[in-house]
Amino acid sequence: MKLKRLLLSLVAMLAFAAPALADTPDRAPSDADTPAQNAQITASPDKQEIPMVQENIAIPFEQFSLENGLKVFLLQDNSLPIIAVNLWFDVGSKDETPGRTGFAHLFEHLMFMGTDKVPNIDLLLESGGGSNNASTREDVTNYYTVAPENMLETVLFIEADRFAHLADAMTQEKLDKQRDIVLNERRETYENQPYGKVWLDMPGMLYPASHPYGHPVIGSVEDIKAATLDNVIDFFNTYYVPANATLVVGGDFDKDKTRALVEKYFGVIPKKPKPAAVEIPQLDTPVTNRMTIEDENVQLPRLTLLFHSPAIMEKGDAELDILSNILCKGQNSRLINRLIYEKQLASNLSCGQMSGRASVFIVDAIPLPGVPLDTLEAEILSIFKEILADGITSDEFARTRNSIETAFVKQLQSIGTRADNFNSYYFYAHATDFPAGDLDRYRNATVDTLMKTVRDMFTDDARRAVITVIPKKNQEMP
Amino acid sequence: MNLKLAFALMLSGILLTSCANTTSPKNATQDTNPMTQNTDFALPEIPPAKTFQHPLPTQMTLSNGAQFWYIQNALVPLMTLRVVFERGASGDDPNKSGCANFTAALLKEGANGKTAQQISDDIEYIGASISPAVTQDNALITIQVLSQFFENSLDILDEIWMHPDFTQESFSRIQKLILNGLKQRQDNPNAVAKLVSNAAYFEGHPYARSADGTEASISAVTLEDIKADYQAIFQNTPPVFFAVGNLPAGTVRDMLDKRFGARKLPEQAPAQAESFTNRQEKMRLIIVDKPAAPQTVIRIFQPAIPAPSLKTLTWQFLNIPFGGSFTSRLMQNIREDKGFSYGASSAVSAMKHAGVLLSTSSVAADVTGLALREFISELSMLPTGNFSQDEFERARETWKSEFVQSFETQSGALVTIAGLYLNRKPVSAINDFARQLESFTLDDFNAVAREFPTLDKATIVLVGDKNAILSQLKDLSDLNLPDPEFWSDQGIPVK
Repeated sequence: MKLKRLLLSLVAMLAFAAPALADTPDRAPSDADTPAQNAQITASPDKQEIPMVQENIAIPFEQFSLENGLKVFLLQDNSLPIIAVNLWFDVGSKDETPGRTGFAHLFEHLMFMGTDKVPNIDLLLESGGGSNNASTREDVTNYYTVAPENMLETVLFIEADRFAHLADAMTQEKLDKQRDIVLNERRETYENQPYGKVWLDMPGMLYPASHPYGHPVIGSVEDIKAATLDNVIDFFNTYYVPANATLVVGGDFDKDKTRALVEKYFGVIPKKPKPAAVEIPQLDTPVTNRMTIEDENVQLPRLTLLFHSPAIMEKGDAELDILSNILCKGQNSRLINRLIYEKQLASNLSCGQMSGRASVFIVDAIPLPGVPLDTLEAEILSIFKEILADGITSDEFARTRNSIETAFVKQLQSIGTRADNFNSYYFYAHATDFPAGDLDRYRNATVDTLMKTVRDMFTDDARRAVITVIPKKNQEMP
Repeated sequence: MNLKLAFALMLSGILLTSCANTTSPKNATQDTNPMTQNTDFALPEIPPAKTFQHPLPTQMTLSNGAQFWYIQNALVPLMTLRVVFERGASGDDPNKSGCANFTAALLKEGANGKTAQQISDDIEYIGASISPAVTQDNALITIQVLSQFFENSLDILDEIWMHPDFTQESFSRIQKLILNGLKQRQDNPNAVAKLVSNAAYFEGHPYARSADGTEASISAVTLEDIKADYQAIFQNTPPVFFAVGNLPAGTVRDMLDKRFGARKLPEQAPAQAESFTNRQEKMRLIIVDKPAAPQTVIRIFQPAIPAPSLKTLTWQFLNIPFGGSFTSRLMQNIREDKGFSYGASSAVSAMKHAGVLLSTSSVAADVTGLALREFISELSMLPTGNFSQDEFERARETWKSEFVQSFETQSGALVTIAGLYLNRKPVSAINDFARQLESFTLDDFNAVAREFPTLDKATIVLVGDKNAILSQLKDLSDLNLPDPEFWSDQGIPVK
């Protein structure tokens, strides 16, 4: 089902459906002081015939900026008659003020409510076979459209028009309508989902309320209901300015003509100051170390371990993606092998580095019947202790490498995904060597850099937060 | 394999940092005062779209006669292969539903004397994914891997497909995991709605049974059942190979032939299921109680055309303006106009022995009755065939665009060509419907709409707070809804 205005929280449940690398391969380049040390990594003898992929991949692009501050990238690829238009704004739930949690996401919905010139964006877009969507996270709001190549000018017109004129056509009726839809999104995504409350309570456990990440992206019901039309206009005028956005256009077009169209339609958007960047304090310890949630929607308990972790693009971020593979990808990964195969304590296990300007590493488990959560937790922690004491093997490290390469190649198939990942990489890394620079972070990681990250993060028990979910109807273990 | 080759098309676009031939719009980037600029652009004209021809698969056979269909797509250095066996969960013993799925789950749990861990290591080292799965009609094993490791992945496929060990230990372990997964299914309102709607709508037909099974049926499965199912599905059903990737067709065929071409091909067994006919004489309304649920999942089944029909694509095309796009009637009514839901949609699902028009949404609990009224209103209007010219034209452009996008990823192209084979359509049919669309008119479109089912054949499932639902149903007396039935979250009627 295609649902528009999808809310993507940093801790979105879908991210748990697979190890983080498979879902979030867009990461930053390596640090210059961590040169490749692949020679140190030797696979076991029977695996030495498997080479590591070390090819360089380049996506050609043209880059320019408009006078008003909008940064633009053109990724021409004429292989199929499709285009993608992808706009990232440096605004998200981190920018919300007290009493207005959830507003960045609510505003994202309003961006689809039309202007005087294009009262119904979706009708115009679909009349030419296009489709669009958007997502809001703590750090960013992005808008993306894919359409047949003949729709390029129309799509650029639509995007520039709402960028410039959305506020002129905003009404109380539009706000109220989207408020209802967002409240339904909250119900569908969190309140009526098994374990959904974990994601609502997690930010407050990890961060103080004053922290930009201290509330869920979806916001509280009370705050969503309190949003006013003045809030909408102020938010638009503050954050939806060219200097706060990056446009990537990809697909089947002529670069020169496309550049002219971008300049024509986006160039007239007034120049305004870029809003001040919100400082994102990096924390080591959670606000609360332990929390129990009673959930009437579930029959089985669940355990979630949380650790503050290095921000996206920082040292350790790529290493934690690799660690999540070593812990939770494949039957021979540490946690799956021990908890599901050897000791048969758990039925579900997943790990992930949820990267953003503040990050969190998550381990999540559902026990088999009769297994107390304490036992599960103790076993997971014992594996961390073993890794701290004995390190990881070169085999474990080596077998993650080609999975990462594959994930990068897979994401390049679709022009929409390619444009979005290019934008993401530029947003977080301030670099344009995607995907090679991003991939290099993983190629340059070593057992040593991984172990340093592991020691930094998992040595001190005070860094850990634990959420347990207990079935409300039956608080005894099954 | 040189990855750079894969990006030849992109490399043809040399990086430019300036644009000498561009003529800037009138002072567009110099004058930033909106009051003095010409910003009154008119909506641009939309030029004609380029035509697109989906590449046809190359049809080959292995030495033993096994079918192999392939599309070469050189965009990325990746291979996607799917082996299909035309026998699926509908062939399960009725008391042991889920057995085929259970069997597929065990393939990677030990083979050729290797443990699950060793097999997993082999897969991880080459960065591949190898995924056995079972649908109602078919069993599948799908591989995705960088092309340079494609042959390695075929060696692993050979082991898990031809030499699974099926030990008692792995059987017991996977059984426990499946049972815990089924318990979790009961907690998910969408999964419960799916389970109950299948069970009720297809009552008496194998499609009524969950392909994942139930706690009772999975508990009844024995290791001997697994071994028998393995023989029936993976050994005694002829495999068909489909692939999309950047390697040359002959190379891929030879790699497959080397491993799988010498084995004697079994005869295709007769289908395990009969065609399903909806014999319902009046609408059914089923409630599954989820006390205090903040939303109600609405899921409505009505008969559509089974997959092999040539009309299936036409029905799927017609679904676009009904509930298959953002501007569709269901999405606009239930979400955008009324604000009852985050989304509402419909789909025409075409299986081998039955087709279903599925309409669904999760709506706020306190507007369940109002939302149900809107669903019934839209579904009642559908067979009147009153789509407008605008709706028709949007649907046509959306279909054409999605047709192009289906070729963007190897997985998308794979589904397209496998669908042709499984529905016994010629490869040329891949582009036929796109051509037919050009001469299709609104009258043709509405004539198809008038073939859509009426509500007396519908099964409506509501998963939510029973008391809240019942109190709102009282306000729908003018709709003459049937008395509700009550089912459990395990898909069983309750007294």
